[in-house]
Amino acid sequence: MSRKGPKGTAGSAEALKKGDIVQAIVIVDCFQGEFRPITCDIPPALIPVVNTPLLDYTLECLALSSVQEVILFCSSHADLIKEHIKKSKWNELASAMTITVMVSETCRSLGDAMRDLDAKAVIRSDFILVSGEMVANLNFLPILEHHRFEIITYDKGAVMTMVYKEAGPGHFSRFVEDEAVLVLDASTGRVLVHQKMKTGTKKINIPLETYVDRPCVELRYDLQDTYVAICSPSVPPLFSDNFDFQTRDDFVRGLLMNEEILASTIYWYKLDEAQYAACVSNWQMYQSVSHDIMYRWVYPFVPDSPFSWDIEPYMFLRHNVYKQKSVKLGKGCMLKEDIVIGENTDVGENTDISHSVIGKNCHIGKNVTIYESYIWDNVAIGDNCHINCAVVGHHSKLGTGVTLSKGCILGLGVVLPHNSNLEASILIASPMQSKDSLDQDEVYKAEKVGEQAYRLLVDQTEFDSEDEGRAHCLHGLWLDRSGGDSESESEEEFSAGSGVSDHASPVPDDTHLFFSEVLDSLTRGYDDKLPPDNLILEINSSRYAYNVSIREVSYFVMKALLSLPIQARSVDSTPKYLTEFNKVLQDFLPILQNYVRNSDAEHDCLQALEDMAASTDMLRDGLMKLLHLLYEKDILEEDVIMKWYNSGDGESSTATALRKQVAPFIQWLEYADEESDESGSD
Amino acid sequence: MVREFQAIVMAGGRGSRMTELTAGRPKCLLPIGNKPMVWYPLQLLERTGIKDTILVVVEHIKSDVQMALEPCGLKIRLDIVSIPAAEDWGTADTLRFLSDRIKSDVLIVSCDMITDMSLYPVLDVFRKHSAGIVALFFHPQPSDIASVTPGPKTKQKPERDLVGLDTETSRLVFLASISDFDDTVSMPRRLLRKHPHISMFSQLTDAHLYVIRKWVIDYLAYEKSFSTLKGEMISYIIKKQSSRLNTARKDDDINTSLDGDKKDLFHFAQEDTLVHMIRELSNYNDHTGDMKPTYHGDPVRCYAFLAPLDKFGIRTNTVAMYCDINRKIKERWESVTGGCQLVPLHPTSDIKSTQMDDSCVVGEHSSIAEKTSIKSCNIGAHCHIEPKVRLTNCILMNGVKIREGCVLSNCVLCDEVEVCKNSELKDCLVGSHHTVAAEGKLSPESLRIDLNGIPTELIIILRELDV
Repeated sequence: MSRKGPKGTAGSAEALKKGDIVQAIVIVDCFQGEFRPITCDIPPALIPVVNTPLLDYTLECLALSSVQEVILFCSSHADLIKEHIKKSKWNELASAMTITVMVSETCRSLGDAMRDLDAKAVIRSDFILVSGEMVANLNFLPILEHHRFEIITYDKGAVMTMVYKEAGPGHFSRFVEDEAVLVLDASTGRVLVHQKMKTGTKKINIPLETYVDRPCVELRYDLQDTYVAICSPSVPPLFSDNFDFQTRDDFVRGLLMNEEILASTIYWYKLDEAQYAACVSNWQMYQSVSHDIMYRWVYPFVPDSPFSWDIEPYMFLRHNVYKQKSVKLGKGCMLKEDIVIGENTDVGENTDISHSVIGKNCHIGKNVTIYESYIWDNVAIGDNCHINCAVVGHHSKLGTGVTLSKGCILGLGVVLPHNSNLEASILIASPMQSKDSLDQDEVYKAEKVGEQAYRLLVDQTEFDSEDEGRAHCLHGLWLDRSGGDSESESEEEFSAGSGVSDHASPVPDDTHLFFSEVLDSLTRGYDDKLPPDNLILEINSSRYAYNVSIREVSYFVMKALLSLPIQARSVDSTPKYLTEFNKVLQDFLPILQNYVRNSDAEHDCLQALEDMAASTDMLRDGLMKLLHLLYEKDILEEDVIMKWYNSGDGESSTATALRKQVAPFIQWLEYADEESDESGSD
Repeated sequence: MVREFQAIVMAGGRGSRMTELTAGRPKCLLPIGNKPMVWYPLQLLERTGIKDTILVVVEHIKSDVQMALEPCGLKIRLDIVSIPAAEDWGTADTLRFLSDRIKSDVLIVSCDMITDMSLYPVLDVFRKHSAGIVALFFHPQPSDIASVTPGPKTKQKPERDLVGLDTETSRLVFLASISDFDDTVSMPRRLLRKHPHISMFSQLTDAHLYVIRKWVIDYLAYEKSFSTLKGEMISYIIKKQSSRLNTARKDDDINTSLDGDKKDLFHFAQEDTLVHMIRELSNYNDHTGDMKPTYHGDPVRCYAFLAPLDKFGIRTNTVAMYCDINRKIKERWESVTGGCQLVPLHPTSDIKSTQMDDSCVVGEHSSIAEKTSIKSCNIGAHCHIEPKVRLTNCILMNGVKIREGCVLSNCVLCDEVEVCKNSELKDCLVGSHHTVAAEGKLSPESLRIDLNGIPTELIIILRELDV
């Protein structure tokens, strides 16, 4: 019998019209595959977060907002979901919330789900759309009322209100791939532009017209998507009409782009600080939401006030330790802080646990350290294991002396042999299961580690080309807290590159701007390994934008190439500079060849070299080697070098000094020249 | 003695957006109510408690300005500086010219600003954050659409700015003219990471009131390439706020730049180490949401002050604005001038008219004959209005003569205009020293047809008619 009967039905629901039933659609499959391969065995909605399946959080939260009708939409593992619901308190007669499970095996995206719902015509009025992986304590009714009675009254075309939570850049619960900029009308709360920020995006472009017609427009980069939305009944038909809408992002983008055609608008709602909502859509979020639950942000959903009816209550001890009564602790065992331990688990002697969640019926051996890890139910961990930043699935067995670090993920029933040492890997119990249920396009190779342990190999070359974030999350690396930090730092450095380039030009005049753009393009091209042809295109377009003559172009391109090692790699000594420049030249030789085609351009090139050498010590010392290098690469011809060498007479002292410095090279040139002449005459 | 602020009133502009009016009279001396335009910012500064003020004018009008301001009874110490008219100096050039005279932080005011706002909140923002630049913006004023601007309709679009503020801290993070963009506005992601909540305004009026730290003036004096203050220098400094180099440097490692002897903006912006220590030890932070230090450690900081919605503030830089403020000035007189006494009818004027409403202003030695009807008019000095004249909503500058039987409504008559007998003018703007022929019937709509019939010496100056 449910301990917390749904009492709130009468109170806040009265504001809504009588006879209105609040409907909620819960999309149980996230269709993203971020949790694969663990989701081959259990649906993401049943992944335990702080020892409670995600779906229970979702349903409980909906019940607290006195939602009367919930439609669970599942595609895979529908039997497990049905089973789970059957056993839960929602199946009892007294439950005020009716749950219908809808299954569509073929459904592959949110779009498919909505089209299916449209076909089945189950939507009666405005409804709540959430995913089954939601952890929240928010009250839906005020948002629903806001949508229904405020927004709709002045905008009949409003179809969706998206719920956002404030979280500044760098916030732990922000997932890098989810970062988006929202452009909002300040007075109405209408979403005007929703732009996803990919890693590496340096600029955001907003159409001018967005700003012009409105007195105040807000740009928000401090919002985190909760994946909670209030939708009008016209949303499923919109999905049906536009079969290319697959995800919610497609839907939002499509609606904003084709505003006139679809005549639908989107609004947003900001959760106040007391309310919490998050969607556990990947391992990073898994970790941060677990933390938030332990730190009681999601109150009343905290371990010591259980809402699952079959769990005995936890004790809430100091240092944020939650422990059930039946837990047995060995002698000398240290429970440091932020720990949840489920029932019937026993922990061996001298074991050290911190910042971790341990499920029920686990057996943990002696001298084990567990840090930042999530151990699910019925896991046996041998003595002397070190588990650092890992997820260990149900029924796994770890032999003695196993070391897991840097974000390992163990699937269900993995048995690791003694003294295994694993870093950043994903392990599954049998190689077969991965082939069955994964999509064909993602082929995992498995390497056998033990009898029931296969390590998935992610094809590194494949992911090198893509942005790092994806490869990381596949590895589960995000579990490591430091991972998030270093990412933001590297990005900081990345963006700093442009800062350096424009500082050299205190005044924005065109050639300076051109130079900094070229430097920018090259830096980016060098970092991202862009093909030289693209960069040539970019340089050409900047050239026309700033109206720079072709001779200046060769000068500035050379200058930019020369400053690249300093700017981008911040080398500090001549040898380092030279090796770095050599690397740069390897990549960018085609660019230089493209611009340096005649003797005039070569002369400009030399001029750039001279100017740079005059101002930078590193370059001056390596000038001869640079000249030689460029000569070897056929960028500079002998005649031009000689001409340049002879032209310096009577100019400034630095120019003469520079020429004096390269004199040996010139002698060598002359000598080589003579030699070749001789050999020619022979 | 060096005071906290020096004020500079920029009155050297030509009034290029209202050439019809400024052909005969410098812009800063156009009458508003019975005072010259430049008096309004000056009295505002006086009330704010500014002691030293530099008034910048073009050289040939210096004596005119002196003469015009004499009877106004300002107590503020005025230093009228003239700039050569021949050179086309921008506002930044003018400031550079004045940089020797600037000894402290400056308050730069344009001569065409009229507001009922107190300047203290603006100065307080400057003090509180020890900002480099603080700019004042007004919300668009609700305008009465019914009124027609004298002169022909123009297609001239008002210049508008795109202003971006950090909503939490009011840092000015983006400033650009809308006309600079084609169809997209791009913004570096770095800016958003630093200021994740930005409010973008497209309809604000830039009051052209800037409070500027002394180091900015030093930088301006050093960096010769800026010509205009707002368009070039301020927007450059605002952009530079998000530069990576905009972090407090403890040691003087300024020579890290490629060309070491060239000073950049940040060289000028370095703050005292003591100030840094105070800031580090204090637990004050101007923003929340990340773990960055106060002001993100930026020595260059620009702020915007958004005037409260209920405050009035305009810039009189178009004919429409000019007419509008003349209509409104009387009702706003109290708040705009801070309780200064308005003498609507000058004691030396000779008014015999019986049909004259309260909202009229008449200047010295003007005479208005009997049997005239004057409604909502601003009449300057030495005007002469003969009997049987009806004036509604008109602005008459000095020495205007209106002969018998004329009917004028919604007109602006510049200096020494003569309107001969029985003329009827509606929505017209008459340039200085012109004579409107007798029996003439003019309105902007009818003008095109009548233009041929009008004697050549009579010219109604209008903005270029798109014939």
